[in-house]
Amino acid sequence: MFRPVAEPSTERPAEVGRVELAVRTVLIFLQIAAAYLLAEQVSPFFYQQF
Amino acid sequence: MQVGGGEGASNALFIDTYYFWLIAIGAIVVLRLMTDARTRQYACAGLNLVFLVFVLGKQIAWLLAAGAILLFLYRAYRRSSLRLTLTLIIATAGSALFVAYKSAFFTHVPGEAWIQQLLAGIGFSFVFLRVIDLARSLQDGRYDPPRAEQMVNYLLPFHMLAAGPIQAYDDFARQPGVPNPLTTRETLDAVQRVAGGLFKKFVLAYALQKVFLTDLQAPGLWFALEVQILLLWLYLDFSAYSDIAVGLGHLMGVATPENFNRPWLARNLIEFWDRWHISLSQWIRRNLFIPIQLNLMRRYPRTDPVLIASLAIGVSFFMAGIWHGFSRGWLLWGAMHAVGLVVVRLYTGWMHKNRTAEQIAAYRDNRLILIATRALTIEYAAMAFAVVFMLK
Repeated sequence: MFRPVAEPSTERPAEVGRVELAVRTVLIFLQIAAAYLLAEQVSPFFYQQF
Repeated sequence: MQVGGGEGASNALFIDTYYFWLIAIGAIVVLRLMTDARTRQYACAGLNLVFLVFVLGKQIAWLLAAGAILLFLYRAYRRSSLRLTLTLIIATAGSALFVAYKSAFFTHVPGEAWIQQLLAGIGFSFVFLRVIDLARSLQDGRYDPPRAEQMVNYLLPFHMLAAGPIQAYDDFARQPGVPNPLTTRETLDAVQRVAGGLFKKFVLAYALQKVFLTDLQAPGLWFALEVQILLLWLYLDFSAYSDIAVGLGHLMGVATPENFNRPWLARNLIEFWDRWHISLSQWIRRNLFIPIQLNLMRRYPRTDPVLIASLAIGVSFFMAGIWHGFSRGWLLWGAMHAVGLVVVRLYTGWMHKNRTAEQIAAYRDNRLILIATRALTIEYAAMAFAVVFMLK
């Protein structure tokens, strides 16, 4: 008899590992930093407020 | 007109202001800490109003006065005999204000700032659509009239004010009073959504604009390429606002609907409107298309349903064009979408009449047809937007 093979789960684990947390935090930081730096070009307003 | 805003001009609506982010961070902390639904509503309304003080300054007095009148009208919906009249009053007065506001924009603003003013105008337009949606929800008797703080939170949510999404009142009213706490992963996803939105808007859309867009002045083949890139730029710029709003909504625990779902996968215009500016197409369906269609069917029961549906689509998109802006471009944009949608409906009807279920399934599964229909759909949408920018 064959045992049914479970479908591979597409759900990601609920817990966030340290490596994932670190990598994603760095990526988030880089995206915000890039947006902040270029925002000056799009709108000088962004800088003037600080 | 400068596509994407002139050099150095602000077309970032509120997301480039310190007060937007200050209030966003405050709202995440305050609304997540509160465990009482009623207090949470008050706090949320307070934050939304503080944001408007930053935006409007002393002018907020006018907004509060208009809000008080509107609240009075909404409360009067308790009397069911008055409901239709109240909806007519709100729709007429709202439309008159909207028209006056938009007309002032287009007569007093120099051409250079056209796009910025259009985007700013859309900020007001989103509130107008929510005012109507709430009135119609009350007219149907589905909800009790809102309290003041509920009305503020539905009509003027600071994170959805700039560029939507246009939340349905159903969606607002059915959200839990106190949301479930976020897991680390959900928090990370939401922060990523906000960061991704900022990156899309200020890096990707900006780079695309700088490198490729020439205000549709480019000659020959370059012009054809620019029409495609214009749609991509619009997608990046507009969906960025939605990403930021949805991400902040998750972080604050405030229901915020999705607005885009990979529009390039749409295989016809009907699907396109299920994937592009979803909250607007749903608003049109709820408040224009279905009521017009039902009304016409009741009045003219012997008329061909396809004709009635086509008429309802035509009127709906004529209004959608006007809502976007008072220009020949937006009118033609509405007409192009209306004609396109009617053709899709007619073609789908013809297919179901003249082809077997197997043939239709084979048609849908055909890879070449899939690629061709997707390309045709996105091309049509791109041309409709190009018309807006060419005929202002």
